[in-house]
Amino acid sequence: MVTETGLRENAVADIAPLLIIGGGVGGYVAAVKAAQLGAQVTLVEQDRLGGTCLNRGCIPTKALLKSAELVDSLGKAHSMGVMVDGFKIDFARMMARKNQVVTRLVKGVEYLMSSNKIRVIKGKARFLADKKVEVTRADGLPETLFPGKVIIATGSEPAPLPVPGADGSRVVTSDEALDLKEVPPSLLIIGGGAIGVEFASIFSSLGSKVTLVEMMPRLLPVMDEEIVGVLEKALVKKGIKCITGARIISISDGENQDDKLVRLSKDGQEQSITSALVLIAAGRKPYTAGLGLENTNVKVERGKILVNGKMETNIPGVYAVGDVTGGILLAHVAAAQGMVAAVNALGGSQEADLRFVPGCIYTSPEVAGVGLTEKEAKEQGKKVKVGKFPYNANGKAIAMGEQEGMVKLVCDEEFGEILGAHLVGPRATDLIAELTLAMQAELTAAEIAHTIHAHPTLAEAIMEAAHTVVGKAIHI
Amino acid sequence: MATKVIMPSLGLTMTEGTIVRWLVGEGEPVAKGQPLFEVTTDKATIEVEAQTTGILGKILVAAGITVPVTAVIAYITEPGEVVAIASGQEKAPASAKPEVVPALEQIHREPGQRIFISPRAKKAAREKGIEYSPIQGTGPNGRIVERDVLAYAALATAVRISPLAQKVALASGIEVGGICGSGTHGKVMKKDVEQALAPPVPVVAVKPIARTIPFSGIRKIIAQRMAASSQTAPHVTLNTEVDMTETISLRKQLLPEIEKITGHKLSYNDIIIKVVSRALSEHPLMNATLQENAIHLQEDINIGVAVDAENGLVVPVLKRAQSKSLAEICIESKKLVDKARAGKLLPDEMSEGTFTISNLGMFEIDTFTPIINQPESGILGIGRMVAKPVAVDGQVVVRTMMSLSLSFDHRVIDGAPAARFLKRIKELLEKPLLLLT
Repeated sequence: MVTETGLRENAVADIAPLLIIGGGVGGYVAAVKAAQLGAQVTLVEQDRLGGTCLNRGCIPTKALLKSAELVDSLGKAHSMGVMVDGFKIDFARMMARKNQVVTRLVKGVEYLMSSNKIRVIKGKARFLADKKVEVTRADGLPETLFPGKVIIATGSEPAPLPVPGADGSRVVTSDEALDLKEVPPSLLIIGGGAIGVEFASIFSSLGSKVTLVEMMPRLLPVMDEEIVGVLEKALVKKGIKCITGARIISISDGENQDDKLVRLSKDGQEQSITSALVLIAAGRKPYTAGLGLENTNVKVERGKILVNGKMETNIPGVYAVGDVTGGILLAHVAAAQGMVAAVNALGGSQEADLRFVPGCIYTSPEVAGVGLTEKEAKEQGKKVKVGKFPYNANGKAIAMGEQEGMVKLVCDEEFGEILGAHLVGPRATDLIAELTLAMQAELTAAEIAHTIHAHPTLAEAIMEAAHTVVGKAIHI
Repeated sequence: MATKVIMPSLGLTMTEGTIVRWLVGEGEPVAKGQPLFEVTTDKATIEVEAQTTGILGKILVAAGITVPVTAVIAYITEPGEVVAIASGQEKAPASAKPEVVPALEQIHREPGQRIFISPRAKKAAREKGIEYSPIQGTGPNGRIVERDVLAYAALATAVRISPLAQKVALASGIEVGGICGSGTHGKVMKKDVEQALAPPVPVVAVKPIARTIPFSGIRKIIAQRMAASSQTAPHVTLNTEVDMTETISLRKQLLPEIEKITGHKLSYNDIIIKVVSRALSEHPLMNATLQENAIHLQEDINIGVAVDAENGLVVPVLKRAQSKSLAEICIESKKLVDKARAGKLLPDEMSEGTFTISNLGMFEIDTFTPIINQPESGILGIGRMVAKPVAVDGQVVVRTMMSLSLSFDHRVIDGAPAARFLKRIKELLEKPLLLLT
């Protein structure tokens, strides 16, 4: 029985009422799953539902990338026989549309909460003890909850860059970059991971002079080297300056009032770059400020909440999922973990299976990968057989005018086991699903090669790459 | 025709159950109503009865495994009937949702009994190398036709296995039918084949341990509840001693009458329940539950009686004690305690308690510090009744005394009101006739 102000305290015969802290992808998915299993769920969110993904991450960037893609397409329109007579970019409208998309999805999550009868409290949650949580509600009233089970899903925030001047003016994080009022004439992005690369792509398309700086020897260091090489070439062709293996020394005000001066060091040499705006996209850290974990016995290590394979912390009945646990900082991982935590909080005993998590980059061309890179497979001592197929031999890609890129399957020679799959090219982020499924179901290259893929599609390239693993492709 | 035995739903919110043990062996006869297996949910361990009479033909899910509600866990067959399930699916994986495996019905035919089979079916059987006598025919007059042979062949040899695992198995020559699959719906995956191929791991001598009790089921539930209560409610325990002379006398007088009405002997616990109910009705704060930011004074007085059952502590609840007579309390408490000891309490009979009584007197305990049963606000511990010297009017006399230990939640009640409540209980026990006022 739920009374006006919240959770009913745990009674002997009830399923323990469940409290979820954080309404991002990890939290709200766990909430819906738990509600579907019959639990009484309360979710506390201090800002907007949907968390980082919907409000400051995945969704807004994808919306802007679409606008940027349209700009790029219009640039090629003449060659496609569409005689566009010049066009303008209205950044304010672009941002407004992005906000509309976000708001629509946030409302969607709100609807999910109400249709599943999940009680949502807008407020900040703080632990006073292992199973005692005080909520400072948005309407000012305090509320203390005594949940039977808790799932912590407070997510992450941009990590600060420990460099002098990183907190100065016109130095922004990804959060602020999504609220800019105008396209900066020049932009220096620190961090060549997924976030940095996508912002580079967006603002370059919109007319900024973009410089992308990465500390590791190459961009997107966790993805397949050969595949990333194709993307890097495309980014450079677009006019993006990529500096890898570089470390930032300092950020200061430039000579010109409107500029920043960034000093960096590469191969022992110092360089200085001026830019109107600096974007720091050098990683994210778990967000637990004000959560009150110091009042509990929950084990935390370097900011991350420690959990076992069942998403449970060292305190029975207290779970944590998503970015706050470290691990792979992706929304789909948080969602998968959220579902496992929900089932386990209600008495189940599932383990999160994160063996095959696809990673996607929504640049143009798109990049996607799942499993081991070619280098990783070889380092693990596998007898590797690589099957590749380029999009410039694929009818659909050529017809689309987007023939840059390839499909690459990294297989074990003995049985054709798919160890990793990597794509760069049009729709890579959607096409990767076929390969993720194949790996999860232990299909080998042979099964993919023998599956009829429709013609003409981009997916055919996957079939052909599989053919090169088991024998020979037809179209190359 | 085999009858399915499924994991029953024992409560509105139950989604899974763990089979504790089978009470009937595979192949043994079982009668309708006979206890068949024990299930544990997050509330209690409950015995489930067989719904039909027959033979427990096949156990699909072994003890210790957790399956979702309505999953098929066994089959009860008619005598002589044989249930054959496709191999590789006999062990349902611990937390997957098992698909219902169609029972392959085989006909028991007397030797020499004529089997009706079509020529095409016979040919198909010969081609597939299968013995057709056990096949149930679906043709006219129970004739075996070709599709029956094909269906039988498909089911009887189907092993669910991933393509990769199949290749690994083929390369090594291992027989796949015997491998237990860890994939969805019991599918055999690469690691299952690899495990089957791996040489047996030599048993490493471990330090001898006396005994390990798995920390699960009831024990885990009790652990969580006790820890939660202890950590969130500030417990204060008040002790007092009660002169039981008058209560002993009262009981003696009422014994024959109650026995006549109920068939049971009136116990001291019954009288204590009556007395505590009366005291609770006068001290509503002790009959309250703390929920969110409000103290809910409960209308009904539902007394939980702590029972030491085989699997652990269990607290059946005697509802609406305020309006029950001693005879009614006597009947109901006996019923609840018996059920609790037998592990047959229903979730309804363990819920909505407003106050708990725990009696450790039979173990010669005097005082103790009981832990409040959340979300209640107090719990009364009862000690032993023991003859001891006390001072009455300046003289030392021997009286039968009993200790009471009242733990209360200091968030809800303060020391003085709690003490007044305890004093009242003492008063009513020392002068039980006050119950009539």
